[in-house]
Amino acid sequence: MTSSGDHLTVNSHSHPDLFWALRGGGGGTYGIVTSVTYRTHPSVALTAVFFGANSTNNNTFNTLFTEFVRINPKLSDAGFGGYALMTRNAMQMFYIALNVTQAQANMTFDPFFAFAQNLTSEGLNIAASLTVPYPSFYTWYTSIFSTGQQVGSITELASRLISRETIEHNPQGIADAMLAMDGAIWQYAFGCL
Amino acid sequence: MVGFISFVILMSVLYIKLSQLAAITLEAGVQWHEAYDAVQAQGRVLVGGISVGGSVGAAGGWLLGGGHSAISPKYGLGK
Repeated sequence: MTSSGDHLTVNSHSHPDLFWALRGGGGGTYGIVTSVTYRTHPSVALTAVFFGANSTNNNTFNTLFTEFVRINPKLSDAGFGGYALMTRNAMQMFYIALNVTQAQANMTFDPFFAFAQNLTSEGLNIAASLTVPYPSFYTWYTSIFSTGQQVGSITELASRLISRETIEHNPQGIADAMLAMDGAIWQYAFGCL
Repeated sequence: MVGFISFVILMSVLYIKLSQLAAITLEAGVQWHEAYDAVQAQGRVLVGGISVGGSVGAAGGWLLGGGHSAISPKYGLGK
């Protein structure tokens, strides 16, 4: 519904400019979205990866986090996407990949898990480091998130879109910049672009 | 806020199944857990967001903010 009161059907064929603008270009500034139609896909099995680590040694955590930033394009290529959360001295991540077996996921993540394991002698604490197969997105989602709590917190939001090229050419710089914002909690939605 | 939306806007989930294309239409106020329940019942999945309790609107700001999902590497941004 536009500000002029017109009720439009907006998609890549009908009002494509407005469709483009709505999908991340400015949200509610272009009108009110009263309903959406999403494409669906077959439900398939997936493997989830959980990892969490922390260290009071800044150099150790920087080393770990730089490696994590560096491998993200490879993780995306292997089909993984998901979310991660980090502060100056701790991180958690939970990624998934559809149609990827646990054995395949282990092959993808074992080098990073080993990298982290090697840092334990330099003060890294690993809270979680595992892969878990699920029969569907739904079972993964409900097992993790259906605890019934309402969402909502007091947060000042900012967002950054970081290109693959930037990550590939300067993972250290990305990690340094993020870690330098001490006190900020970064939440990633990672993958695909 | 969420309760208000759910009260004012009657949830409407319409599942459309064509030969080549399966889609779901969600009216404003539908939350992610409701959307996921609906498509799972049909053996389907959709590119969507996550939150504790699934209590974020599936037809609102998530899509308007770009629509990133954990399964976007396979299926793209929300569409």
